[in-house]
Amino acid sequence: MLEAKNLTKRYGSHTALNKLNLSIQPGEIFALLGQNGAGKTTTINLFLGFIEPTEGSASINGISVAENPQEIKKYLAYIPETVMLYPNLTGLENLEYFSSLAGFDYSKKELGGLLTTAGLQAQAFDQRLAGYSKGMRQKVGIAIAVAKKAKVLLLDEPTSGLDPKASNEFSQIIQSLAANGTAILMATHDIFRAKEVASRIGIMKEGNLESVIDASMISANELESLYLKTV
Amino acid sequence: MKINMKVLFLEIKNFLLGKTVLIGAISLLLFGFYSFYHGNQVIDRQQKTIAFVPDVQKHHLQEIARHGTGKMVGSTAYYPFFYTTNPASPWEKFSIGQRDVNPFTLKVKMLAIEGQLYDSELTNPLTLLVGNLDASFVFIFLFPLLIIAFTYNVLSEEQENGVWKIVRTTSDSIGAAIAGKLLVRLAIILTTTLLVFLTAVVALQLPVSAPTFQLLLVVLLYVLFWFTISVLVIALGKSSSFNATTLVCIWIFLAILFPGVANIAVNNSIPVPEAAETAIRQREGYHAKWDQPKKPTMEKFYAVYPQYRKYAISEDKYSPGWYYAMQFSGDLESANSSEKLFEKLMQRQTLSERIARFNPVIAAQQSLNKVANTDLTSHIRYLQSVKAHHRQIREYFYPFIFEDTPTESINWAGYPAYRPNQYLQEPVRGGMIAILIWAAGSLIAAQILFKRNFIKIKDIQNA
Repeated sequence: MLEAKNLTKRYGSHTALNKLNLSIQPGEIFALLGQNGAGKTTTINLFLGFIEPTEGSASINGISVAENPQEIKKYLAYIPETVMLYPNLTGLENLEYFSSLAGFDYSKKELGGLLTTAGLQAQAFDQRLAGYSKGMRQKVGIAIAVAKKAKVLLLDEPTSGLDPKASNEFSQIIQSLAANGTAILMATHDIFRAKEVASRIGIMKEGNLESVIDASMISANELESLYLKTV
Repeated sequence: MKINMKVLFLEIKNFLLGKTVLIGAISLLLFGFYSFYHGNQVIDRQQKTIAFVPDVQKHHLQEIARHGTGKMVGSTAYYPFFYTTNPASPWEKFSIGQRDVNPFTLKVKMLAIEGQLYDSELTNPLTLLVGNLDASFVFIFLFPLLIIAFTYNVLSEEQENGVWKIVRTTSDSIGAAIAGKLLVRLAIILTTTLLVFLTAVVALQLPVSAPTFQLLLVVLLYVLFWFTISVLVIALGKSSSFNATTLVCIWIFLAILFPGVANIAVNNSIPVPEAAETAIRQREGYHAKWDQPKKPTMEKFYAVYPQYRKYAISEDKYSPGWYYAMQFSGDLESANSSEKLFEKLMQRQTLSERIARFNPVIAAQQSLNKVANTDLTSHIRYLQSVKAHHRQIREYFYPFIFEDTPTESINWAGYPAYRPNQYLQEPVRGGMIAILIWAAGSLIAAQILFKRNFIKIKDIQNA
């Protein structure tokens, strides 16, 4: 569903991402670990079509991102580190706005259902987004992804700054999305969260994908020592 | 590119709930209300003065006739003033133009006319720089600022706070998403324009007729022009602060700097020394006549009015017939430079209209002044009507002067009445086309830039 072939991004003489080869299947959660500047966000931005690859290609559902930046948007949803939405609109209105923007037409009831699925408490639906906590905004972001029926979900450090409970809820939701066949690529700093949620884990260093581990084959402690050894 | 109604509705809601909109709209409305008050006040005061004129004229002439009892018309005719007025068109409250600078009533004596016309210097044909805070000022100078405030951050703010990432990855079509956001702003700007204009129509009691619609059309095109300029700058894909600074600079350039420079350029390329020169020539022509033989002066007069040849003019004695013939020949001597003055003024008008093609701000101001009949051309028409009236007066009194009629035996108010100029519908199509072309041009350029900076993949930090 998600595929990178020799994907490379250079800024002048600096190589942000070097010959990444990666394939993520529907239902799979792939976690990218690595220090700041290791190339995690670059990878995600290349899949999003925010930046152009210097070499190689990123494709979604078999479609090249660089060649069809608009078409691939149909398949993907994106949740950045901080989900920013329209502060003057309520949570429900934000969801309505973005799902309509994606070409879907939901009733108010369906929109409420989506927010509930994403874990947002009902009394927050009609409050302006300006008053939302980060975790609540993150949930609206998930609801938008779900409303879009995205086949691919790209997450850039989605749980950083969330309290443990919110972070846990978030993990449960993306696991259930994966169970429904969504391919998920997630960049994170949180080793334990990665081990708990992901099916596979990649460790990056200076633009290279150093190692890929099956999450079920490794304990959190082993993962941590491998991580520290790699970086 | 399909734009979803739900999206538009929520976009409007999100925009209207922002603080800028309310503050911007309210301050503009306040300025609008003040401008209506100001326009009403300036023009009402003028109209009141004009309304006094017939009475003043009547009493003045009665007084003159009373004082002159027992004397001849020839000596009494030196004293009376004859009043002319230039009443405001119904649209002048909207665009005062040069009416506050140029005289709206002129009183002339039967003496040589040229020295009596130029009370003010006719040197600012563009009506460029900030004058009255009238309705046209609100539309020409303040509306662009409102448009800038409403649009400068339409996309950049979303890029800066991160909403844009979600918009980009969620939307079916980025083009449609951008168009939707811009359309919402445009709709709100146009609504505000219509609202302020409608208030102007009511507050200034503009008649619901063609000129009012011309004003509206000019204003709408002008607002559209500034919107497209804003869109063009937005399409560069730069930061909010860059957009705001650039747009304000464009505003300063187009609304203040350019007209100022253009004004100097027009004045320098078509100098008009003739206003002063005409007055001087006329005075010199007149003064010299006292010491010259009377015959040549009379011949000049007879050339135009041969019917008075039959009256004897003494060569060594003062006579009223000679005195007025002398006044008339003074005018004849300055006629040439007087014509040149009007011609040069019209040249200035033509040149400034040509310059306006390059600046929609000037084009719009000129068009509004034309519709309101407050531009230089209108004032020249007034001066010409005063000259024509002056001739009628002279020709009415000449027979009595040459016949040596006693003051009391003529009707001093019997001269042909002054007829103020009628409203003249001047063509404003040229100005409107210029504004439209600039708007269309910047829209096309904006479209190209949008494709490059927003639709295609581009390596930008805050993508």
